[in-house]
Order: sequence, then C-alpha cells, then structure tokens
Amino acid sequence: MSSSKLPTERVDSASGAILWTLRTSIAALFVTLCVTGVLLMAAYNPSTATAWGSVWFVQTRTPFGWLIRGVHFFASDAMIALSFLYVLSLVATRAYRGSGGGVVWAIAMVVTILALSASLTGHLLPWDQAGYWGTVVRSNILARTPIAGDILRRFLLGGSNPGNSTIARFFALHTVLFPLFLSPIVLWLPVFRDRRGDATLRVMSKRRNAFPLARVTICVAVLVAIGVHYISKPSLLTAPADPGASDFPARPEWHTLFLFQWLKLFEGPMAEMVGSVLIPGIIAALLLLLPLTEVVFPKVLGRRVAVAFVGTLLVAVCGFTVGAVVADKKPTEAEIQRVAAIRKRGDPLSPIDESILRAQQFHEQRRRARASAARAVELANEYGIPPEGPLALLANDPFTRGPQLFAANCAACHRFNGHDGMGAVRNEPATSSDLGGFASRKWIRGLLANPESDHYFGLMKKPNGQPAHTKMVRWLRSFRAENEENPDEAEVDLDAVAMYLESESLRPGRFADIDAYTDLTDDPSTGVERTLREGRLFFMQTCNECHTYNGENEGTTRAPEFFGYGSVDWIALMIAQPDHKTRYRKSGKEPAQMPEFAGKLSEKEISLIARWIHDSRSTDLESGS
Amino acid sequence: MKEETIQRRAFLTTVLRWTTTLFGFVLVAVGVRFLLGPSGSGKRASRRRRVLPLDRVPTNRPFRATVRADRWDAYVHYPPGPIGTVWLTRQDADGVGPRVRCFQSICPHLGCGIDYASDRNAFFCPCHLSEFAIDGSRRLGPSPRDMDELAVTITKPDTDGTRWVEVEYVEFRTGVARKQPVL
Repeated sequence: MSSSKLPTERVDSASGAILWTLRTSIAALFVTLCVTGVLLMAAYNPSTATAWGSVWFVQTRTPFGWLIRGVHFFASDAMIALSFLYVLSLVATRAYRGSGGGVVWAIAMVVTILALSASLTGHLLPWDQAGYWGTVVRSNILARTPIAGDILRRFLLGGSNPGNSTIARFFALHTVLFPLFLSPIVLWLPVFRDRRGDATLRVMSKRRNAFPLARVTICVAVLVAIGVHYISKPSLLTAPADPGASDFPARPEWHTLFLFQWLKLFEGPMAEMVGSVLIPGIIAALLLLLPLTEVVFPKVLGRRVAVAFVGTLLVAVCGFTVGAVVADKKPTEAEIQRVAAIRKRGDPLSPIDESILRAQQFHEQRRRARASAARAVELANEYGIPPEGPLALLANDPFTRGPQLFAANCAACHRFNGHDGMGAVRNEPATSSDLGGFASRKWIRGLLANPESDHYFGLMKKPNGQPAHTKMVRWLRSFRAENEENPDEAEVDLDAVAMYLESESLRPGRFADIDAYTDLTDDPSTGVERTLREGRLFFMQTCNECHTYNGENEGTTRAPEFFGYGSVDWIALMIAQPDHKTRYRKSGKEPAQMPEFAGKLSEKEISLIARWIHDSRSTDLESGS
Repeated sequence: MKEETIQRRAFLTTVLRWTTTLFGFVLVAVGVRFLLGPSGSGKRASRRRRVLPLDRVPTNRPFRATVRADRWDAYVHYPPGPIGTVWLTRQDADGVGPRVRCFQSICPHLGCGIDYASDRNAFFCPCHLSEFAIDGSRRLGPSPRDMDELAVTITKPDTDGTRWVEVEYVEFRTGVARKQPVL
C-alpha cells in the first residue's frame, strides 16, 4: 500500500467510504460541468451587447438549452457544496493528519477555492443585473486590500469598470484557466488509495465500480437535489445589466451569503478592509495551514484545536447565513402597516422597525427586479435583441420607462391609480387628476358622473386659489337639471358619449361622417356600433358647443380639441404644450396650470409616457372593432 | 463476502451499468440536438419586400435595386438594412400596363454579382464571364442555368398615388441546374 506514489489517507473503512463517495461525486460533477460548459460555449457570445441575448437564446429558443444550462447551474452549486462537505469530512475523519495528509488537505482547499472562483466568474457571463452588480461589489471589496487593492481590481476588471474587457477575461478564466487547474486534481481524486483498511477497503479501491450502493445513493440524492434546486432558484436569468440602475437588490450567492451578513457588523471607513479582506484573509490562511496543528501542538491537543477551529467556523458560517436569510425575510402586512403609521406620525423608528423598513424596501426592489426580468424576456420574445444590446429593449419599452418617467415628472401633481406610477404612495397630496385608465370609458364616465371628485377636477385650483374647470362642472349640473324628467335617458346618453370617446382614442376620426345634423333613425347599425354612433351624435350636438372637433365647433367657448382625444398623439401634445391653442390656451378662460414639458423632456420621453398612459388602460372596446 | 452480498452487489452493478448507458445515450442525444440549433428559421411571414416606386424603374434599360429588410442573426434582430440586390427590367405593353421582371443578381454559377453590359444589352458575370440575355436566359459561359427570376408584384396606388414594385426576395443554390431556394 504505502509503496504507491499517490497520496494516501489514514482512515478506517467507514470513513474511507464517505471520503471516496465525496471525491468521486466531485469528480463526476466536474466532468458534467465541463461537458455542459463546452456545449454552452458553443452558443454563448461574450460581449456586453450580445451576452444576455445569447443566454436568452439558449434558455428559450435552443432545443434543450434550458436543460443544459440548468444542469450546469446545478452542478456548479453541488460541486461547491460537496467540496465544503469534503473539507469537513477530512477534519471529521482526521484524514488531514500524517504523511501525505497535508497534500490531501491542500488539494481539498484548492478544489474548493477554484470551484468558488469558477462559480463567481461564471456568474458574470450572462451580463445580467445579478452578475453585474455582484461583480461591482466584489471588485470594490477587492480594491480595499491594502497596498495592491487598486491594481488587483484593475487586473480583475481589465479597466476601471466592468465592461467588455471584464467579460472577456472572466470568460477566459472561467472556461480555460480554472478548469485547466482543476482537471488534473479532480480527475485524480477518485484514485486516492487508502493507506490502512481491511480487505473490503482494499477490494473497493482496486475496482472502481465496486461500491454501487454509494453511487445509487448519490444518484437518488442528486435527483432530489435537482428538484429542490429547481424550486428554490426561480430566476436563472435576471434583467440585462444596467449600469445606470440604482435599485437592483444585489445579494451574493448562497455560498458567500455569510460574508455579506458578517460585513454588517463592521462600520466606518475601514469596515470593508477589516471585515471583508483582513479578517477573512487571516481565517482563510489559518484554515489552509490546518495540518500544521499536528506539528505545532502536542498530539491530542492538536486534533482538538483543529476540530474546535473548524467547528467554530462551521457554526459561524451557518449562523451568518441564517442571519442573512432572516434579515431579508419578507415582513408581514401587520408589521408594514405599523411602521408606515409610525413614519406618518413622524416618530423615530426603533432598530427593529428600521430593519422591517429595509426588508420591505428590499422586497419591493426584488419584486421590481423580477418584473423587469420578465418584461425583458417578453420583449426579447417579441422583438429579438437589437444590435446595440438588450438594454435598448427596456429603454424603449413604454411599460418600463413610462412609470419611471411618470414618477419622476408627473407624480408631483398627478397620481396613477392612487400611486406615483412606480407603486409608491407619496406623502405630499396630489394637486391634479388621477390618470390611471385615462380616456378609457370607465374614466370618462366617472368624470361625467362626478367631475368634482379628487379623482378628476376636484384638486385642481386656479392661480387665485379658486377651483378650476368650473365650466365643465356647471355644464354637467345644468345638463342633469334639464333632464330631471328623464334622468335615465340622460345617463344613457353620457354612457354612449363615454364609449364614443374611448373609441376616438383608439381610432381617431372613425365616425367623422356623423355631424350635428346627421339623422340616425334609419341607421342600420346595432349593438355596440349603434351606441358608438349615438355617442358620436350626442358629442357633435352637445359637447361640440365648447369642445372643438377638427378645429371647429358650434359655439364660441373653446375647450380642449377632441379629435383623437386620449390617443397617444393627443396625450403627447398635452404633456409637451398644455397651453397649446388646442388644449388649455394661455390666453383662454382656463389657462393651464400644468408646466410645459416640451423643453424639459425629450420627444422620445414624452412619447414613452403617452404610450404608457394609453396602452396601460384596459379598454372595453378593441381597437378597430 | 456472503452469497447475498455478492448477488446484491452484482445486481446493483448491472442495474447501474444499464442506467448509466441509457443516461449516456440520452445525454449524447440531447447534446447533439442542442448543437443542431433551433429548427426552421420559420419566423418570416412573407419574403415580399417593397423595393422602390414604379416610376423609378426605367423602360429602356435594366435597373439594379437594393432590397432592404430587417433580418435575424440567431437572437439579434437587425433593423431594416440591405439584404441583397436585384435587377429590374420593365416593358410597358399597350393595353396591359407596366410589366416588370426581376432577376436575382447572384450568379447561379458560383455566386458572384451579375453586371449589365449596355453595349451588348446583356447581363454578364465578371468572375467567369457567364452571359445572359435581357430576359435572363443563359447565352454563354459556365452558368448551369438561366438567371434566377423572382416574383414581382406591383401594388395599387397608395394615398399619394405612388405604385410600388414589390419583390419576393429569395436566394438560390449555386452550381446546380435546377433552381432551388437556399433554406
């Protein structure tokens, strides 16, 4: 036995079985990673503009791409978990001791470090939000290393910020360098000979497939783990990396989560240097030198010191991981309300309340990130990836940009279904209408029913503090007064005009053939079409007295032009020039209180807001029907 | 080792061997299917492309037009850009109206771009000197077949009265006698 050149482990048969199982599994996982990795390499394009798209393509359009990528992900997590377990087993079975024990331990450490490094570099490759921000944070932590920190960061990133150079070198590291160093070690692991053991063990080590029970167990465990992994890892692809985004809730992967939580204990300018680089560096160095406990300490004490050290580390790592998960736990509705009430009163928050608030914000950011990822995939499915990269998809998407622009520019005065467009409830009161569902039949009907409500004109004031839009309010009052005898008919008329105006927003000018003098008694249309035409007639006979249509009206008072009311172009002009002569003229009787946005926002931005307001409605009528 | 243990071990070994082989086959099949890539570029609804207004097609000589369209490259969707060139010839017959014929500019021999010689009133390929008549038929040279004709449609006048020439843009295999589209 001992004449062999291979490292040997001084273990008994049971321990030998565990170690043998773990080593073979790690080797098998490594081979799986290499095979799936090469297949993925055949489909992946490493650049900031193409990485996300190629990964999306593999995940959704290439046959079995989802499976190969999923296996690759799973195998990498499993390999890291098993190498942690292997290190622990070496300590538990005292296999790091004796001649050759140091080499065995070093190999175990190297395998763990390389597996982790491969995982971290691979995480960046899809160039998605999670990988990007994780790399930003980790490279900044690395930069805190004393003396050489900045140089190290430059080496890692290939520049001053993560970009094309970073993808290129991470790609080289992940696909060539780390596997190259791992392969001899890992493929060597299964053939470690056991130094001492009974005949059974000798038989086992001679014939490689002599321990089928263990392998069957591994297979079953792997299948179970795949199931668990599948359930717990819902998003294998987050939204495309956006260096301009300020709200992505980055978290490390499960294997480094403890470091994240541990760092929270440190404060001040030296926090990262001490907490992330210095102390973990020292601990890692001590761990690497563990076999020296045999040499430095007397026999029994050495063993105890080693076990105590590793045991404490294990407890600490588990504890901090659990702490991180608990800290990010979603707060209950009751807790959220309680903290909101405290904030509203203006009272100071206790540390527990602070952590609840932070967890709430984290989950809100996480929800938005998930929505953004889903939207990116939806847009990619529909339009493909533009040559300049997938960010352009989201940047031109009304449903992504619209709410952001609304919250930044419109929500000072307006609301959208009660919130600011992005879901946040503002503390300052609204001073204008709620634009959720603007120009839908329901919204218009609501205005015609109760224009003075806060939802519509109620909050609007003229410069002198008097309520605005009183003319419309008065007109509706007098309209209802005139129709006191037959109020139902009046409401039916208002229903019809609301429906007509909604259809005007979808197809401007559709009923242009009907004017105030059209006679609909012999009109053959029925149902919805009939109601629309009647609504149009009502508009031309009644509303047209004040509201122009195509620049003309029956009376003298001018209110906003209603050709294409509620369409994208109509809304866009309202945003750009609310005091336009076809809206609320500066010199008119109801000058606009709304500021002009033509100078403040680009045409594209105004168009995105208008398209969002228009498209986010659920209209009763389909366009063109 | 006990008899039972040996039997159980042999059984498990056999089961494991068969399962592993099956697994292996499945993996290879999956890998091969993956590498073959998505089946069918099926997304394109119609290859009919609007080329240029009818008025711009001269009647006295062939006209080379660029066909523009959006195109897909795996996951990248390029905005409309040049995807090929075609030759347009026009003859207006009395009573019938304008008649436009369209020929692919890719030479059926080896894929070079076909040019037009005004002195001979013929198409010719500068690479290996294939020559084609004005109706696309093969006259001289190593081309295996006539110039590839493409289907042309002339649209009805649109809102400002322009009539457009639309071409069903297809590319064909070179070096064969029969005209076969490249998929």
